[in-house]
Amino acid sequence: MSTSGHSDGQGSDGPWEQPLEPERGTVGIDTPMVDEGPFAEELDQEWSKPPGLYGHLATVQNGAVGMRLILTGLFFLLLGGSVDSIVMRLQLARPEMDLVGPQLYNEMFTNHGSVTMFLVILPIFEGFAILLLPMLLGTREMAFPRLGAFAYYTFLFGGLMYYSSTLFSAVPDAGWFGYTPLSGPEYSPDLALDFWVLGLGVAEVGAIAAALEISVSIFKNRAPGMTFTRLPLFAWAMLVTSFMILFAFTPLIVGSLLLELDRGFGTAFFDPGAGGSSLLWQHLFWIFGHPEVYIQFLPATGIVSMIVPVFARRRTEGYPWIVAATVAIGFLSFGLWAHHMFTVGLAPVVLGFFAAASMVIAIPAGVQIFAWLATIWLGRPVWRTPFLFVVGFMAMFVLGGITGVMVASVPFDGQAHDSYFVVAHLHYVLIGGVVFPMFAGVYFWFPKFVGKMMDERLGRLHFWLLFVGANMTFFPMHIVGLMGMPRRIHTYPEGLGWGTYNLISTIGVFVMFGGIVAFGLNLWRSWRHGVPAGSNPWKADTLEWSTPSPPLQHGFSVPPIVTSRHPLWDQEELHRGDPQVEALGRAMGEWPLRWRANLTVGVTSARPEEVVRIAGPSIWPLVAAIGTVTIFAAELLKLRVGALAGAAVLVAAVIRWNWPESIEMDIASEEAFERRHGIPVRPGGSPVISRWAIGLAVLFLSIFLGALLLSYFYLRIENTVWPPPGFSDPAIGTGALAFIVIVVAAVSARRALAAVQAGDLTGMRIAAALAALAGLAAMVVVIEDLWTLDFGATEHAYGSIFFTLASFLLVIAAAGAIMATMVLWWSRGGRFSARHHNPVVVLWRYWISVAVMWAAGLFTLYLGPTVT
Amino acid sequence: MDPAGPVARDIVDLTIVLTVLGAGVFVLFVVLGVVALRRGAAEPDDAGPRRDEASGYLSTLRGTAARRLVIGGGVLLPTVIIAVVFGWTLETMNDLPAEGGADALVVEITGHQWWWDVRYPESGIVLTDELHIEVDRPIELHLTSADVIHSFWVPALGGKMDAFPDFVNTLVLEASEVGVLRGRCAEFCGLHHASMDITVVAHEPEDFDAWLVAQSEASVAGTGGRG
Repeated sequence: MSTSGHSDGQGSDGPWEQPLEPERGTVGIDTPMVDEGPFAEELDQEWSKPPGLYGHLATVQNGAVGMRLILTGLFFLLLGGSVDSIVMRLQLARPEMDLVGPQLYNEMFTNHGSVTMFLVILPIFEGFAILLLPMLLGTREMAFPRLGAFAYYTFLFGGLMYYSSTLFSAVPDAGWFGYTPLSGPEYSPDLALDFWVLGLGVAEVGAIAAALEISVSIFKNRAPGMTFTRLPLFAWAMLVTSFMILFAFTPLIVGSLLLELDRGFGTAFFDPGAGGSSLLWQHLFWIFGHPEVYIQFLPATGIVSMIVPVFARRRTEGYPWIVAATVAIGFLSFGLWAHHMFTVGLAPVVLGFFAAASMVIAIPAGVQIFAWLATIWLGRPVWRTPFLFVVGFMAMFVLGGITGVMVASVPFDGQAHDSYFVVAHLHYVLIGGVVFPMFAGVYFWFPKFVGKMMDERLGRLHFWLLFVGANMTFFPMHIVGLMGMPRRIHTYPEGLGWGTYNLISTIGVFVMFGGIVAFGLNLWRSWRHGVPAGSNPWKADTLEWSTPSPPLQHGFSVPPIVTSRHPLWDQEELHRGDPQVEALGRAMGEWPLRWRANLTVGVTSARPEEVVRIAGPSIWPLVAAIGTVTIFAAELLKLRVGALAGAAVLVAAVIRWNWPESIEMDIASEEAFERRHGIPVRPGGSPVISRWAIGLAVLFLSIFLGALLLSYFYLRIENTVWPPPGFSDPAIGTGALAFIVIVVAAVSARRALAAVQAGDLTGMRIAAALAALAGLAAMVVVIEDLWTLDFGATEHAYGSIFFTLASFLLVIAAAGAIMATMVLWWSRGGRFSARHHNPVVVLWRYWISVAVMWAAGLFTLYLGPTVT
Repeated sequence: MDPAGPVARDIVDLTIVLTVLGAGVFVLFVVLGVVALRRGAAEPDDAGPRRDEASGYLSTLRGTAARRLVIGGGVLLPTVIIAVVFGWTLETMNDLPAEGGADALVVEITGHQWWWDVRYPESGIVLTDELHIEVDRPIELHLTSADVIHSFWVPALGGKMDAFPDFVNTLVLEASEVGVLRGRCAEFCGLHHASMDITVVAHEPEDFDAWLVAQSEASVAGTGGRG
């Protein structure tokens, strides 16, 4: 753990002492570089994408996937963020303007909100994470590169599907929040809202997939020695964010599913006339919608936390305070969704609770802000474009936070809610608090993106235009909001005194657009003619700056050993440490060159744990994304057979992409490696990584189930008679039978694992077959019950939720039966042994989870009416 | 911001408190920020960035300046401000009437795409997009909707309340001076949401009684509720 190096105190030779001259392309002055090892070129080759078009489509490399996410997000920002805003602001420039009518205006604000919330900020930050995290963490790749590629393709296809509504003249027009019943089948009968629900639904699947990948990568794929107390703050922020995505987007997917069932299949979830509730949508939507704000904001704070110490030339003050604040914001953000619903008529005690919760979140936000301020206070700030954006961020975000506390005050919100005051507040938070850090991040990491510096002069121009423009646009909105101007109106009458403020806002938006043009110009010019950047042009402190700009495909030939929170400032050498770890690192630089190996570490110890195989290029993530989008598109076109085809493609593609790859090591050489380096090598997949993957997948399914159960009991409370008159009570005996059979399946999966661990392959096959059969039998029990019910899914919300919940149970059991079948298939040809049987472990874990979820689901379905 | 009734006046008082506190915090933060940005450039921090002794464990803040800023600015300042704001919020919420009381004028308002149906259950008067009230008498509005969600909002009288198709919400307002006020739908409700307005006319008690009589006669005469 020794950090050799600078004399304590006034080390005049420290990297922070030297002037920053990025324009000259300084090459890594005084900060250490990682060793390339003798085989850097071979490794780079092995980790590169395959040649040709196939290579472009099949690549899973984190740099490519991350860059695609960022560029696609910026493209949608230009479409939905800029073009729409300009037209809307022109229309509102003067009273009673006639540039666009109400229909087009409604479509535009719906599009503006939907695109920026779903297709811009989150994908860009997930792109930052996928692109940068391996570099920041000192590792070669993300944990599940194919899942990352799948996330990108689903996001792209979902965005395109959503935008294709313009081609069919069926543009969504019910707001980005899509409140029922306005968004329901009765009041929005054409396909517009289906484009909205289904297109964004595909993109949400991508958001969740990326979140799974990001969290596991931060847990497992780090450099030796990078404990959680040394984790770069951007990684901390993304770790919290990825869990928030799981917990927030899943209820939204459930809400979207229920809405689409109402729209496409005639169920009654949100139909007050048939036992449904129009408020249920608002709860499901805002359980997502409020955390969503912090899902966008936390990555931004992570970027700020990376940039502040570099340009303040000072170590981060209060690192643990910032971490604690990040985690606290993550938790608190789920406790304040109802502050979007202060005017729906909630009980005063509920209002008081949510008002308090909404205000308390100002404390962790304040801690973060003041920790950055303290770092600047004690440092020696150097003005460069990224830092300019960070200072602009702090000013605008603090103002947005203050108005946030104001609207948390219930009576004040009664006036401000749905007025321009809220428009001002949310744009201060999202433009000042999120977009400014996003731009700061682009300027800061551009050297790692393309190996060049961005232009400082254009950068300053970009900053000032955006800063002045944003304040000009949004500050006057506070005032017209308090004067009573509501949101979402395409025009307003004369004589109310609103005109001047609106005109200033409209001019402001053009100033902002000038800033965006300067940014685009800067991107283009810097990419083509930028000054080549050295490895560390900012003399920054974290591991990505120890690699060449742009980095090699595999990032690190020899994994660095981290002994400090600011390794490049505190460590003179990045490969010194425990001799055994040093030897392991050198070995990784020389072997294996024929498959993609990566070092994983213990979650808390950060000691080397395994050398695992990382999945290589594959076309199957793309095919799986096509299958996914086919399911949604079939529903859009009401060609429901197409959904079956899409599901078949999806299942086949997922099976193919998880196909066990041939193991290129014999057991003897695996054991030799383990003896030499003290950790196992896993060319056939790591049970540790699989455990994380299946754990998070089950977490996702559990949240999904949780949101369905919440809907069940919410509808239960809304209805005095449950089940409604004329509906027979559920048959408790059937539920009990289904539960027993599903337990048999889970026990069989356990027996399969025990058998394979004992080397009994025949026993394993029998038990796996039994698991598949028992799973199917349980499904038959439930299907038979659904078939004979005296009600359907459409007459009453009770039937709607009954059939939906039962169908969810059927789907997760079907997935388990497919997994058991694949284990049977793969067990031919001696692929499994007492040592290699990862899929069997996965099968067992999954089936245990299915049994638990079935227990909760069956209990609700069959005993729900009795116990409530 | 131009209150014409006690509810709105309470909210304006609250708004002034919130704005003053907010502006104070913002100015304080900007001053601190400017000092932070200038002092480093003016006098280099002679402690210098030390080797990070905190590497392996969770450190607390180093140095008093950092401690004062983070604990004072990040924890104490927002806590105090929030306590004041929350207290004032609860106080205002308590002051706002939840029901109109025995002498309140009850009016049933139903939102439609894109108009307001206004009914006086006691006198049987039915109006469209128009609400007549009496000054200094609490008005108890029973809000519901015939189709999608609307929200009833007369800024000069008080906060808004949503109108749902599933249930009835109650909103109590009161005007303290005679006049014609603008109200409107504040929840996006489809194509013509922007023009879903309502006119509120506040009468002196005697004028209101006369208006009631005239309207009732007009209804009986079969000419309907409204001109």
